[in-house]
Amino acid sequence: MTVVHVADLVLVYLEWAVLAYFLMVNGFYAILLWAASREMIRHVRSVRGELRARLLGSSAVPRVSILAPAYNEEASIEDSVRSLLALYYPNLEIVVVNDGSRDDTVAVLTERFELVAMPSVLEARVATKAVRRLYRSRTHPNLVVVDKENGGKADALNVALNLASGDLVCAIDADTIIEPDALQRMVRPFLASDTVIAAGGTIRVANGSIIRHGRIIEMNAPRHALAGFQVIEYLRAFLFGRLGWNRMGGNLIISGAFGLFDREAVLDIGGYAHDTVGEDMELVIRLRRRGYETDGRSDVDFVPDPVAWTEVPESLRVLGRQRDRWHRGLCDVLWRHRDVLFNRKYGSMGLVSFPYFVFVELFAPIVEATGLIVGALGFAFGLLNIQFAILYFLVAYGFGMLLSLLTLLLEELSFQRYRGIRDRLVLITWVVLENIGYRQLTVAWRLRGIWKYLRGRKDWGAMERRGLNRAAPTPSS
Amino acid sequence: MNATALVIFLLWVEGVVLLIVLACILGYAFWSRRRVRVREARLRPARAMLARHLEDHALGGDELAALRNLPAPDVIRLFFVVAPSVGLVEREWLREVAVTLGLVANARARTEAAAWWNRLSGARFLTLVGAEPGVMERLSGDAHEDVRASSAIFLAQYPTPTAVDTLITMLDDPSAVPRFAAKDALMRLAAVATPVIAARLPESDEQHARVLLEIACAAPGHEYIPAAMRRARDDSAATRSLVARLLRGMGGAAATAKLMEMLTDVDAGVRESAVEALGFLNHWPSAPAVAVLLEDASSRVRLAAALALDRFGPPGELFLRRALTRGTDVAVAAASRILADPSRRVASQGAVAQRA
Repeated sequence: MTVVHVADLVLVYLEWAVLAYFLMVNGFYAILLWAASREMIRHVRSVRGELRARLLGSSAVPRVSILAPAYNEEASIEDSVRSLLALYYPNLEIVVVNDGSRDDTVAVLTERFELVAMPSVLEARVATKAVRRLYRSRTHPNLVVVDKENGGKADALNVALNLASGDLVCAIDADTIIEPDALQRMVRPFLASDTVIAAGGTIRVANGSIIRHGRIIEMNAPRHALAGFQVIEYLRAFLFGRLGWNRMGGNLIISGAFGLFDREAVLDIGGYAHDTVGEDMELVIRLRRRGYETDGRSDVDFVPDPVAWTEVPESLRVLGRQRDRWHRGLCDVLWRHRDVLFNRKYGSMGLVSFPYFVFVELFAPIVEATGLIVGALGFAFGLLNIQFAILYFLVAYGFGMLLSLLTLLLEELSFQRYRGIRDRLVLITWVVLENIGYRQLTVAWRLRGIWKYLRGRKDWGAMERRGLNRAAPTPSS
Repeated sequence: MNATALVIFLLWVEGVVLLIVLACILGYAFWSRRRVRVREARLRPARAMLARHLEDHALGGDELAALRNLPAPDVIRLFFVVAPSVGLVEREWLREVAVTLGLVANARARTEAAAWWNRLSGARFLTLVGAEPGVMERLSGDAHEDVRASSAIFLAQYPTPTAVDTLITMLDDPSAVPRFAAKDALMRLAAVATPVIAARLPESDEQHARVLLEIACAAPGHEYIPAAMRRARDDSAATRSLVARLLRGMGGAAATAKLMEMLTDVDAGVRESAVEALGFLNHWPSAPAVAVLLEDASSRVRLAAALALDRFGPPGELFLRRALTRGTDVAVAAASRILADPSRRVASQGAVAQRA
């Protein structure tokens, strides 16, 4: 047997392995999409005609504390806090944590919200960096500001957790825009079940939309390709991914930009972990493990209609850094909790969702890259049936495109946030184009994430944002 | 069929499905845009007409006929837009209009449907316009949790002694949605529900008593004193903590005397709730008893005691300062956290400046 024969054999087996993986993953995606559709139908039926405004006058609703860490946010902090104060929820507390900013974040807050110092007697149930001062607003008694030494986002959230008085805590990013009635919608799972410990809402991409005074005035599909591709990714991740998981073993991720948690449960497990870049996923897995191991409260629900808006990166460099960090976080969290894998003690989490995250989310870039490399090698050495390879790639990418279009259809049939026909056409264009170049780039970024994780890198990398509180140009301009 | 032929076949199938999905997205987008435009054009005059007559309640025959000519889902939608933001009198008039238009009969029929979502939409419409109390009371035993919750929301708007009884029974519902709706309804019905809850509270089992206490805490009244005194001896610490919260809301000599007794409770959570309540009530005569808790084994109780003493003003401050010199280490730590707090210095400097 010659070397060429051996190489041929290896390539054939690898191609079959990639094909089998492709069938498994896409089969699972199809099931997930089906589950998401069922869940969406149930949700829409349940909320149609709901008299949600009644919650506003209710004394029975749980108190919610919004935890908003801020670092060097002097330019946008006032608008962010004002939009939080304007949320339609009856029993609300806002805890802003200045994480040792080097700018005038605290001074701006003090001046605009008439902050007065109050006794800094908070019981530190979770160890954190030192708190310098506590303030309460004279004009908005439900606004509390903590000034502390710099310790990172997880540390800032832990300080807020220690201080918060809510039954539920809502962790957000300082630059997230939450829709006014989002909390009323998000609190629903906690009112509907005794076993829910956390709930997540939808994150949508704000790039391209018109924003004024911390509110989305007009929603537009971004014309910038990178932002457009991310709109499709976010829709896929939230509308069919997380919604589908509600029916298939529960979610393992709640976005750090917008999630609602049972405060006592989070404090019980020691708050956010400092030593990981995937602290939001890590917290959810720990919470769910606690539930399985103790009181049985382990449900993590995704609610599709509460919406928070975020700005996504529009530069390849920043986006690459973000994706590489996300994948490093995924590696780290899955490795920390590796004993959950196929562990019957953790029910559907151990048997369905955790294995999915390992074999699909974690390994997907490796398998996809292998497929591409093997294809290229086969082509280079003349071992490939070119016609078959092209057809195979067309089927593979076509199926991805089909899933994205079905997600758009789900969005169309349910929330219909994008009003204009032109917006729909733009989104369809991004669905088609994301397979050409962008998808391969995300594979490379995620591979880089795995590589960096293996080398022990745990830094966040700088995120550059253009800032949300600006009026974006209208599509016609 | 060889592998290439199979892949070609798959590609064809995929292509056809892709085209169908594309057509669905764009077709639905066009259709729904048109539907919204047409519906808005239909509903705008109807909405204006209803708004015009909300005060004079005089809908003419022609106007009723115009409403009747609209598709039923559109008129129902119109009611969902108008009814939540009007007063009681206007809503009664809207109910009459809904009865005349046959919408109430239609909703009643839907409450008997086999599909839960139809029953739910019928129940929600009846709740919106406040019609058919008999039907809505029957729905408190419906098979679906959302329908039962809708019934509780209805009962909160049209309270009768039977409704209060039904709501209290619903607090034991196996599902959380109707339990929450019933609890919320009872909190809103304080005037009617308080005597019933006060009568039931002493005899209820632990779980039920806790929910009743939470409801009582939302509108504390002196009718609850006997029940609170009885429940303050409960075996469950969580229940006793809730009693402390209730007493805090009530105030008065009997409540503060009981709260002072609770300062020596075996459970730290109860002691914490009691000391917080006394602080909230500014009950400075209890300062000596509260000062003892600066030495408590629980750090939360010590902190709560220090904060309560701070709230008592000069008498409390005296005990805090005394703890600094005569207390144990833990008492000194608790007292100094309050006395050395920068905000306190700022406040006292402000007071000195004001005096000057």
